[in-house]
Amino acid sequence: MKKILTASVLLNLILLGGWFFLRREPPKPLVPSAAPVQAASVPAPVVAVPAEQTPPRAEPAPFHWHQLDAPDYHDYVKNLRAVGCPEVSVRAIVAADVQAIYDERARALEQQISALENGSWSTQFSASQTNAALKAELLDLPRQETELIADLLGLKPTPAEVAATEAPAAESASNRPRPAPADQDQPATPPMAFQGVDLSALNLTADQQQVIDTIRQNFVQQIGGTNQDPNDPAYLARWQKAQPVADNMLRGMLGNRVYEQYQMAQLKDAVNPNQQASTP
Amino acid sequence: MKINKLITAALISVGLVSAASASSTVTISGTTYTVVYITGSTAFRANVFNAVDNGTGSWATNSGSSTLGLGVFDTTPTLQPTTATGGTSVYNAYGTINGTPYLLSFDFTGSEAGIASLENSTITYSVPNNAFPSSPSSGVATLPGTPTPLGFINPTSTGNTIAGITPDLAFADTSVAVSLSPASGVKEDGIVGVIPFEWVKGKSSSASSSYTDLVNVTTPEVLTLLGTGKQGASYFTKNPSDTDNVYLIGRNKGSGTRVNTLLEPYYGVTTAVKQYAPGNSSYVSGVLTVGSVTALSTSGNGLVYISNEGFDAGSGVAKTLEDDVHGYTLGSKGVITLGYLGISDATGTAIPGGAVALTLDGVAESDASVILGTYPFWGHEHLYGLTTQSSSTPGGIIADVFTGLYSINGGTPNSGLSGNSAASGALEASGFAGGGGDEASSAWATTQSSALDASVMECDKASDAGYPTQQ
Repeated sequence: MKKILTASVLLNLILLGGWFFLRREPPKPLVPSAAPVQAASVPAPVVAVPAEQTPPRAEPAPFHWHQLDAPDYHDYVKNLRAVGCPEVSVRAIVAADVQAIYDERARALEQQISALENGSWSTQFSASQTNAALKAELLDLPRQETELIADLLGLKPTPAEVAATEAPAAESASNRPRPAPADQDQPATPPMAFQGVDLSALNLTADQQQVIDTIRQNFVQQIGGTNQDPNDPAYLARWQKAQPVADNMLRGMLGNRVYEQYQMAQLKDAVNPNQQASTP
Repeated sequence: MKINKLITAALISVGLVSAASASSTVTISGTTYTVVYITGSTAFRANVFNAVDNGTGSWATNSGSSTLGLGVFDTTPTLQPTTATGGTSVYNAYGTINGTPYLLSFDFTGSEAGIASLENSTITYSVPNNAFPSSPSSGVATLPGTPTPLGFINPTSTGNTIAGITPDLAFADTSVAVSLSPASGVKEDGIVGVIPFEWVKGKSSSASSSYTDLVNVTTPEVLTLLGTGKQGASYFTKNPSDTDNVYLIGRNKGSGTRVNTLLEPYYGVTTAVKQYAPGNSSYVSGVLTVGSVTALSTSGNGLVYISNEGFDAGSGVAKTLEDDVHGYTLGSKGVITLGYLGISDATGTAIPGGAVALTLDGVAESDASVILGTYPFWGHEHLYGLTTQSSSTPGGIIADVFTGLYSINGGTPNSGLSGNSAASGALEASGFAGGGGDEASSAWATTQSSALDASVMECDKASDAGYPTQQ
């Protein structure tokens, strides 16, 4: 449907360009880009004027689509409006372009999530925070898309428009594990002991590394083992009960100082995910 | 819980006890007793003794009746040695439990050693090169009681001990989750109490102003002292005129008291501490043992830095705190000793000997402050057994007795006290400062029970670490 609309708009533009040609009015100058570096790359309209002849009547330059292009999409939209493109057509063009970008982003996120969820349990545990972040981003894409369209069009989305984009998230929530009523707002985060941390950088003693192993084993015991149904609310409840206990035990066994170093290492590794993390 | 009938035990030669396995039998004066070996927490041993030596009849016999027994045995048991008390770590007690002859053999070696010995695990730790006599020359010591306790008394030859026995049960001041041994092969029989601790300053026969001003420690101050071993008194009192130095006296890695002390301020159980001991200490059977109570002095009994080492038993800390510090200087400054103790050692040894308890973050330890959650320095007392244990094995049967005594009739508070909250409880008995069970009466504001019934607590900790929250 959108492709047909896009094609219709393009045809309109071609006709519009032809109308301009017949009117023999020179094309309106492109709006300069906001970024000085980008403005230099905008081609200026070409008008050939013989120097030694009595200048004949100027022939209007043929319309080319690229004349509306701009490195900054905002300027492209301005150019569309400047050439008199109907507003409904401008919106259709912008929506189609933005949707294409976010469709690609959603496909990439879904592939990453699928890869993590189909990995080994240890992969799932070590990457659970990443997995949660990917899912959160996926659910947030409709909102981002709406906001970007509004921004490019120079509009502020109405609350109804934003709420409408959240509907898909609510729909997918019904497929997610329902948390225990008392903990609906508490996400299932992995204990610190399962965060991917480069332990070699912490200079942990053998006792301390043993502590981390023990806490991991105890946590897995508390949640009922590794083969759990992620959609089971009882599983989520066990997880949510065991996770703060595991973190508290890690802090108690390692002490505040080492625990804080552990946290900083975890944050650092989260920022640089390509850094290899070693585990005992 | 009801005691199952005693299963038929393997017959062995008269007077001989198997030295390889727990839960064997022994015949004394024509009666064959099933032997159950018990180890673990020294801080809780007084409470166990009160329950063992109680002569009011066993819970097992009277369970479900209107007259509830408060002891382990049907009648007062026979003790080996007969002089055993709540402060004794090694003794036997035999008699009948619900009509069946049992001999309970105790060798309390500490919480960590107790848990490790259930799995035959060995715990080693480094020992500083100090001037104490007989200190391990290799610099590495094996935690006493691991891989197995060495001191179970031979019931038919009480002058001798039996080595190499894997215990059936171990009491521990913390859970296996914070144990230094993997402890994957033990069975939790349950929580049998809440065991509080407190900070105590050593005796001074003529108090300096620094000593007088030192009445409280805060959690951050404890955190610092554990890591430095020595701090100026003014650090605690906030009075720059208090120029004495405070020295930390403490326990070795095998102590549940130490584990709780390191957990409470989130110092880190795996983090080394710095501690001191009096100069007349020595190594006995590989463990740092306190000498006689003697005033500290530069001419014979001065403080010695022992790094991460500490006393194997709470009595080591308690007796050190009885050493008078008046007149003793170290580095040209007066000395105050400060140690951490279970209530049993504090109120039974150190304080009667002249030491003084301190408040923690402004709160004094008492049954009330522990129950209400205003005092956080306590832990859960756990009872652990072998994974092979069941309700029909001797270890399982005795575990049921202890956990049953603690939580009779489904855990109704004070239900094991014959309905009289002021009466002496079994596992709750303070032993030294009035009767246990006073937590429900007006006396609880000052009573210091060496252990409390967890069912009367109005707060709890979700794990060994952390602060209590009201329930």
